[in-house]
Amino acid sequence: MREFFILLKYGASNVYSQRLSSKKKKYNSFKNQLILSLLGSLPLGIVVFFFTKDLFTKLYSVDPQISKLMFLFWITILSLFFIVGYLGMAMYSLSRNEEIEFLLTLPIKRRTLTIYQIFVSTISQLFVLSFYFFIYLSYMIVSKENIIFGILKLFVHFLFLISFSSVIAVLLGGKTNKGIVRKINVLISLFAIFFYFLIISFQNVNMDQVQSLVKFFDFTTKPYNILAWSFISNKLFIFALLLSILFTLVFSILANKLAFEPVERKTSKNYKIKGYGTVMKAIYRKDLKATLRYEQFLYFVLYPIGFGIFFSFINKDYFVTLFTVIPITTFYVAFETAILTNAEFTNLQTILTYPVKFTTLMIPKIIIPTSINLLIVLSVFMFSAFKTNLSYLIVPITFLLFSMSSIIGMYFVAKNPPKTENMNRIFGIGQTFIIEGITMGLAFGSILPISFLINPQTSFKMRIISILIMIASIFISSVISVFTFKKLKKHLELSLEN
Amino acid sequence: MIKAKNLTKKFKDVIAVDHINIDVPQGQIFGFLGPNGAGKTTTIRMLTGTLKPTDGEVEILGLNLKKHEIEIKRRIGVVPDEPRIYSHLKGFEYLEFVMDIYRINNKETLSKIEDLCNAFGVNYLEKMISDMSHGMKQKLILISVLMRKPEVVFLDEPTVGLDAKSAKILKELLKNYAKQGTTIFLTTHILEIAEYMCDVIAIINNGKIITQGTMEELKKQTGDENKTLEDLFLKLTAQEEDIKHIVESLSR
Ligand SMILES: Nc1ncnc2c1ncn2[C@@H]1O[C@H](COP(=O)(O)OP(=O)(O)OP(=O)(O)O)[C@@H](O)[C@H]1O
Ligand SMILES: [Mg+2]
Repeated sequence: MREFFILLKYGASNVYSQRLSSKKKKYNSFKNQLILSLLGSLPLGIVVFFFTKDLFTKLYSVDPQISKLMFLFWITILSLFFIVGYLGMAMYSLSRNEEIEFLLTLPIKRRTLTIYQIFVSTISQLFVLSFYFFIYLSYMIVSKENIIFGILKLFVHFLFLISFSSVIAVLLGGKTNKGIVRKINVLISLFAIFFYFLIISFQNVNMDQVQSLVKFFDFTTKPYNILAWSFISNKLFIFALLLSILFTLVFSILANKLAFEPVERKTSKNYKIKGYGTVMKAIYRKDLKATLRYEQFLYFVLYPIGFGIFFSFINKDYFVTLFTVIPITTFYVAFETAILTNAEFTNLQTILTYPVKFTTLMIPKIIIPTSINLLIVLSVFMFSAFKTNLSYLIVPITFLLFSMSSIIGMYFVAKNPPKTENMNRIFGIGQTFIIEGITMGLAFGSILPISFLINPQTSFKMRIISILIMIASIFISSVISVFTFKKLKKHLELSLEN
Repeated sequence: MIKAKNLTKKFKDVIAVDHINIDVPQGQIFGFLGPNGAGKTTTIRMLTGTLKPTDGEVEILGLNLKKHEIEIKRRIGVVPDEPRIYSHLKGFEYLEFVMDIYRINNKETLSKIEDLCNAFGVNYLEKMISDMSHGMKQKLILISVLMRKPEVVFLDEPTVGLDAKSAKILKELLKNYAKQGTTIFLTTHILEIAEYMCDVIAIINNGKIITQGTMEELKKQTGDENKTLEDLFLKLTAQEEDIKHIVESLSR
C-alpha cells in the first residue's frame, strides 16, 4: 500500500523520468492529470446535473418507469464510453512500455504496479466518470432511492466494468500503442461532447415526444444489457456483483502472468530527406510539429471548441460562450507556450550551438499558441456572429490576453528550467494556480463588461463601472505583459551564463 | 584556428576555468584531458559561444567570438557531452532542420548524410528521437555535425555510448578530416584515444591547464620514455597515491 501511495504521489512517470532524464515520459503525473481533468470535467458535470435533474423530475411526474428508461439508456451509453476509453488506456499501460520497464527494476510488487496502472487508467476517464456521477446523483435524488444502496449499486457497477475491461485489456495487451490510445481518447471526448447535445436536446422536446422516444430505449432494461446490470433489477445486481468477483479473480491470475508483456511497435520506413527552405520556415515547422504531436493537443483544441459550441446551443446570449471560451483558451496558451519553451530548455546545450539567435527560436513559442487559440476563438465566434460594433473589441483584447498568457508561460519555464522533457513538471501546482488566476481573472475582467455595455437595459452607473473594470483589466494585463517580458528577457540572457 | 586568452569562468562559488590559454592551429587534433569536474565542458562551452566567460577573450577562425558569434557558429561544429535534441522530431526531420538553419540544403549534404549513415550503421532515421537510445542519438548528432563539413569541430566525450565499430569509424574519420585541414578540439576520458589521435594534449585540473604538449614532449616530462600517458596523467593530477590508498582500503 505504501508503495502504491508513493507511486500516486510522485507519479510513476516522474519517478521514471527523473532517473532516465533523456527519455520522454508517457503520462502526466497523477496529481496534475487529476487536477487538469477535474477542472475540465467538473463544471460540465454540474451543468449536466441540473439539466438531467430537471428532465428526470418532469419524466418522473409523468411516469417513473419512463425516467428509469431514460436513466438506463444514458448509463448504458456512458458505460460503453468508459469501457472503450478505459480499454485503450489499460491495454497500453498494462503492457510493457519504457516506464514499466523502469518501474519493474524498482522494489515494487508487480501487483502494486498493476493496481496503480488500473487506477490511472480509471482516472483517465474522469470526463465520463463525472457525467456518470452527476447523472446518477440527479436520478437518485429524483427517484428518492436509498442512498446507501444507491452508492453500493454504483460501486458494484464500476467494479464490474473495471474488472471486466481489465481482463480484456490484459488479454489484448501489447496490441496497442500510444498513438492508438490517444486517438481513442480523442474519440471518447468527441462522443462525450456529442452526448452533451443529446442531453441538452431532450430539454426542448415535449413530453409526448419523449415518451415515444423512450419506448425505443426499452432494450436497455433487458437482462442482456450487461452495461447497466446493477441498476436494472436486484437480481441482476447480485449477478453483477458475483461476476465482478469472478473477473477480479481471473484478472489477478492473468495479470501475474501476462501483464507487462512487450509491445509491438510499427514505424514507417518511408521518408525522404528534404529541407523546408528557410531558417524561419524550419523553426516554425519544428514548433508546429511539437504542438501537434503533443499528446494532449487535441484536447486543448476540442475542449474549448466543444464547450463553445455547446454553450452557444443552450444559450441564446452568445456572450456566455465567450466568457467560457476565452478564459479557457487564455489558460491553454500559457500551457502550450510552456511545452514549446520546455523543448528548447531541456536541449539547451545543443540548441545554443545553432547559428540562430536564441530569441529567434523563442518567438514562435509565443506566435504559434496565440494564433491557434485565436483561430479557436474566432471559429467559436462564427457560431454566434458579431452582433454589435462593440464586440469587435473582443479581438484585440483576446490578442492581448493571449500574448500575456504566453509570456507568463514562457517566463515560468525560463525562470526554472526543467531538467527533463517531462511535461507535467512544467508548472508546479502553485504555478498552475497563479497562471490560472491571472489569465482567467483578467480574461473575465476584460470580456465580461462588454456584455453589460452591449445590453441596452444596463443602467448608467453599471456602464461606468463596467468600463472602469474593463479598462483596469486591460491595463493590468498590459502591465503584467510588459513587466513579465522584461523579466523573461533577463532570464533568457541568464541561461547563457550558467 | 582556436585561440583563448585568460579564459575564465566563475560560477557562484567555484572557479570552473581559471585563466587558461589555448592555441590550436589549423589541422591539429587537440586533446583536452582532465578528471571529472576539471572544467573541460565549461571550456568547450565558452569556446563555442554557448556560455559567457567571466573573463578572457576567444578567437575562432581568426574572428572574435563576441563580435562574430553567429558567423562562427555557422562555420564550426559542436558535439555536446550529452546527446539532447528535440525528442518530438523524427531522426530525418532533425537532419532537415539542421540543414535549413545552417542553410546547406543541397545535394552535396544529402549524399554526405547517406555516406555517414552507412558508415555509422544508422538505419533508424524514421524513428522518433524520444524512442532512440543514448548511442543512437549520439550518432544522429555526429551525423548532423559532420554532414556540414565544419572548419572547426568541438567534441565533448564523443565516444561515450558508441559501439566499438562506430567509435573506431569516428576516430578514423576525425583523423582524416584533420589531414584535410579541419581543426579538432576533443575531450575524452579514454587515454588510449587521446594518445592515438591527438597531435597535442593538454591536461586541465581544477580549472588550470597543468601541462600541454605533444605525446613526445609529455613523455619527456616524466623523465622516463617508457611511462604511459596514464602514468603521467595520474601523476600530474595527483591521483597516483590516492588510488593506492583507495584500492588498499577497499580490498580490506
Ligand atoms: N552551470 C553550472 N553552475 C555551477 N557550477 C557549474 C556549472 N557547470 C559546471 N559547474 C562546475 O564547474 C566545474 C567544472 O565542470 P565541467 O562540467 O566543466 O567539468 P568536466 O571537466 O567537463 O567534467 P566531466 O569529465 O565530468 O565531464 C565543476 O566543479 C562543476 O561543478
Ligand atoms: Mg564534461
